[in-house]
Amino acid sequence: MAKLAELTFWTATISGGLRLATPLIFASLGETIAQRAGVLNIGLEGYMIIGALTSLYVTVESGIAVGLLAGALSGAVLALLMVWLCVRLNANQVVVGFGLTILGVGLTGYIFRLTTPLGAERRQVNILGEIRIPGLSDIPFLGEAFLSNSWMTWLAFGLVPVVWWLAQRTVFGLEVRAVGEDPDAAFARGVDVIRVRSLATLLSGLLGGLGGAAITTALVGVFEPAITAGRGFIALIVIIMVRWSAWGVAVGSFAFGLADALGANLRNIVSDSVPTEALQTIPFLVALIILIIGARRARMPKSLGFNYVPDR
Amino acid sequence: MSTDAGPEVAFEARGVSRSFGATRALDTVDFDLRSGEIHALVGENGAGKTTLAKITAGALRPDSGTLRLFGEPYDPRRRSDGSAAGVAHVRQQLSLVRGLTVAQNIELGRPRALGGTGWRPWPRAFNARAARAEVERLAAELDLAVPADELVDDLPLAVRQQAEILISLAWGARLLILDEPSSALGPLETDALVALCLRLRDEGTPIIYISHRLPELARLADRLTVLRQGKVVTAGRDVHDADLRRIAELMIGDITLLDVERPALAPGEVRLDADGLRVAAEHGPGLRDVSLRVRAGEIVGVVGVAGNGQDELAGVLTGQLRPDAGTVCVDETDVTGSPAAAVGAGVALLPEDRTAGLAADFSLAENLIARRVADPQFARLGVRLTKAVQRHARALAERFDVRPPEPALRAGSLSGGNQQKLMAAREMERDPAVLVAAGPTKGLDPHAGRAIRDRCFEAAGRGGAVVIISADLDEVAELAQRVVVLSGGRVTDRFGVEEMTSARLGAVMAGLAWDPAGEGLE
Amino acid sequence: MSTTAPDAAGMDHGAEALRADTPFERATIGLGTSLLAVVAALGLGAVILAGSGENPLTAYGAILVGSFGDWFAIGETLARAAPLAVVGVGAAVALRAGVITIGAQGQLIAGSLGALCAGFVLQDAPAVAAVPLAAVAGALFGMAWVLIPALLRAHLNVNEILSTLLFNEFAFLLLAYLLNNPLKEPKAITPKSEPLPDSVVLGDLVASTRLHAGVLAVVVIVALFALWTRSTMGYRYDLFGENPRLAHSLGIGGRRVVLNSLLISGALAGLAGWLQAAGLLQRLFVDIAEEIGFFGLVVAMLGGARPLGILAAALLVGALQAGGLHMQATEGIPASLSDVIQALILLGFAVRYAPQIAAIGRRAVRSLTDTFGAAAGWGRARGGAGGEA
Repeated sequence: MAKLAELTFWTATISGGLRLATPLIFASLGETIAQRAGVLNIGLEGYMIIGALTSLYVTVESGIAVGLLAGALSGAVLALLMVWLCVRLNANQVVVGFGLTILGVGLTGYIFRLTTPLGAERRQVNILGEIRIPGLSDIPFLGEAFLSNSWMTWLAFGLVPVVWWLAQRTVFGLEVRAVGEDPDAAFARGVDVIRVRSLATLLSGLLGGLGGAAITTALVGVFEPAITAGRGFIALIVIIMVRWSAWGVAVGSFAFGLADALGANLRNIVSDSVPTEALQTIPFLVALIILIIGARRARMPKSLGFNYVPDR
Repeated sequence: MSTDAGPEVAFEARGVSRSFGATRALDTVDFDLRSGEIHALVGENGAGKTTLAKITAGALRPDSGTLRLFGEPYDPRRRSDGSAAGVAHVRQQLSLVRGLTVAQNIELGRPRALGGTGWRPWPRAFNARAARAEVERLAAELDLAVPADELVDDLPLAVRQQAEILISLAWGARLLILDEPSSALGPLETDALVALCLRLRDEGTPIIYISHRLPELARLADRLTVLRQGKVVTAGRDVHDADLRRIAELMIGDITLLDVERPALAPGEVRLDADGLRVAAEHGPGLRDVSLRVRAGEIVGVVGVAGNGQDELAGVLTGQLRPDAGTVCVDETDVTGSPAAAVGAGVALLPEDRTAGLAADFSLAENLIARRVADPQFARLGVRLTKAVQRHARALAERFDVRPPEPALRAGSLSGGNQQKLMAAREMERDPAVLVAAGPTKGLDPHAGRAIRDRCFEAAGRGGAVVIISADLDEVAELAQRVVVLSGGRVTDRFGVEEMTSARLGAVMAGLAWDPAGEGLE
Repeated sequence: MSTTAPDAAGMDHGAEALRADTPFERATIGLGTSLLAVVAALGLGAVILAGSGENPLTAYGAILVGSFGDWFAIGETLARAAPLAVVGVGAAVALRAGVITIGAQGQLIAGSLGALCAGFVLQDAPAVAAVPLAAVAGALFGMAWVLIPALLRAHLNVNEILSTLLFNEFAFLLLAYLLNNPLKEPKAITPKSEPLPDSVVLGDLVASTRLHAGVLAVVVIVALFALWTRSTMGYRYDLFGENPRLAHSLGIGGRRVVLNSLLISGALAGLAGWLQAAGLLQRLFVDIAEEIGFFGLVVAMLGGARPLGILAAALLVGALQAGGLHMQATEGIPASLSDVIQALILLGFAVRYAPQIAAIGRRAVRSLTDTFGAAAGWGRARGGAGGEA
């Protein structure tokens, strides 16, 4: 246990936390916009896993830039189904979201098994390298822990102010909030509720797909079935906790990533008498606590989960 | 038509008709609004005023007829066409988004022609400072106290209305339609509204002012048009020459509402005793020390402008809402804050919001059984006896004239009137000790309205204590023997049916003092 | 109490009645659109197969053979359908009350642990007593596993979808720990428990199949659920799910409805765990729950939260899964295709409940009944939509 006091342990845990937060940030940022517009994407997990597979497979063929783009677009394609079924046809958001999760997991499992028969070699990419800020990243501890990240992580945190700006400082952001709070009034003010909700859902698909891409290209380097491991649902929890705020998403995702990394790194230093499964529960325990605290404070968008059916 | 070519015409409708299903909401209506006038559009509920307003604003298209706006042919396909052409429709249920500030609302959905949103690939920045400045500039110009940065949710109704008018003008409105703008305002707020309208008119914005409050119209309108059952009965009459009593008669038509034949009821024991009720509400005044005692065979009308504590009163009387202080007793049983106790004591409720009182996706039979599902007649060993339930449902539906009285039919497929009858059948099947009916005949056609009215009389006739909660004076006048006025969460006046004049009702509802001649019946 | 969470009471959920007006319309539209959704899903599945270079006919042939081709196949289908139906019934009770739970996965694991514990305790007891006691233990463990999320939902309004999901992870990790350590069969390479004692094991129903006697319990459970839908208590729960405000005004306590419906669904998921442990597998494996918990919810949604619908949906999903594995084994086409088809069917069903689609279906049925049905008396029941006009 003495190692707990060592700086290297914490350096590794913090940088690991940032790494593990990366996919969550992407997914939660997109979902924040969708939920503010009143669309609940239970299918976020589906967007992520399809993005994870697509980006990896395309990266192997065409390089990382095209791969990330393809991953994002594949998430958006699944979100397009959400738009069509829920925003346009007013099908139940929870049922469709659930169906999209199963579809995403099933489809990626099918494609993976088809392209990777048992015993065959898996497609693999080198995980993205670190970007170090000259000077700053060399600062002892702080530099190592916080400022030596995969550029996917930099991109994720870089997106936070962009999404904040979109939500808070643009007319589109106003429209998003309006259609999530009070679609009838928004419609009466001349806002095209269906269009705004569709766009918000597509954004959540794009960023969800990118979040999945971050898992395969920045964290793991390979795809395997169910690789997203419920991160889409964790993202939903993070959003409740941080009350639909973009900056909050960064903090909440980091908190969860940190718990995840802590569980993983503790395994190396605690005695064998502590079961690894107990350490693995840490992130989920953190999520549960977050969820309970979040539920007490949550003031969710008033029409979240409800479809909008115009009078005429 | 317009024989005197003098005044310029801002808006003109010729031969406009519009039907909804079998109902003819507008029947070859001619209407014109001159520049620089306030033209009042009056009529009973369902006369077609709002339909004409919606057509003018572009929210509805007429089946036939032509429109002209400022001399040009005008054929709006949607509301945004109307606002782009400069027609602003301020509706009863205001359309500002409540979770945003006034400054944010001014930017939301601004017509594209006026620098607003259209589709563009890059999101347009929202300039909060400019929006705030615009609100403040207009507020100063119009002499209104509209705060730019407060959430609409936190503003009083009157200010919200002013904000909406202000935003309409910012969006370039050249013509305003105000639909029942004063229905939820107090007297001082109404005065401010009248002043604002007159100022706008004088500065050149013509207004179509929809209301059925004649005294108010006399203060501000130049001309008025009366609609009845979709037809124009008086067109463009000069208000200052008109005899308001005659106008009122024209509006109402043949039905003499105040002389409904009321069965003779002899009040007996006190059945409902609500004492010292206090409720703190999130919006509105809640209840502030309200007491109400209703006897067997008595019908008490609680009148007041909507949002003055009516919802809270209905909730507390039926046990659904626990008051912060005070008690509700039915036949000396305390039912305060317990819906189960209230149902057990025989309290029946016809809620104003009918979606709250009906399981739309349940069948008629399943709805009708809701209060008695465990009754030995309908269930044995905890299992429902479907046959008995269906038989009972058919008989009950026939007794209450629910059409069609088909037990297996989905309740949501019934018409509004029949849904209300269905609810009445469920609630009043066995003579209720207390009936709380909120706006029971609101929105019903005359036939269904009469049926529900008769049920209320019947409930009282069989010894029930009946409370009618309504903002509709006519409804209360038809039903109640005794009137209680609720204003700002307090009972501000009580009087008997014989003292009930529209003048007095109108005055106290508007919050004005009335000679305390009638000290109330309590 | 007001339930503000739109994902629960108040929001229309998959279990809502089709918006058809008469029972006849409901039945015809329901059956017609169900078939349409299944056919459309199979069609899309064929497109995916063809697109990935497989012959759809070969694939579907293999699924058919693997699900109904012989007694063994039928046994596989039924053995897979059984826990799905049981979980589906539990999910349906909650869905009808307006509560969505994705926690069956964890509750199922807890239930299988319960059955194992009962087995250890009742090693020497006669089967007559041991088998039902093991079932009860499974149900109780399942119920216990949902207790915390249920209390959190009822009292603190913590979203039950997300909390039960987390409890699935806890259950999985607990089982993994137990099977790797105290419960591990000493010589085994992969983590698994010792076999359950004979006293609690459910015997095979048909020789040389994996169809065990627990399948009979499913019949009982679905029958009880049919009774529930007609009971006074079930009525109250349904009414709360359909219109919480009306239920409140009639004195039906929302908190209790939410709590109890979650507990009932937990108990049934626990029973499904017992079926897996004492019936099909006769020991505990790490993946004992497979994805039965999730697909049980799918079954409830597909079955419209009605007894016969759930039976049919469980058979369909069970057949697709059994057949999918057979297809993978014989044709080398990944069994995940079954999941894809199930997801597509679910999406088709979700659209089926959409107002516009339901309206189209209603119109179609009306025009049919207007043409052919007047003589049969169907017109009588539907005169009302127009009202008294």
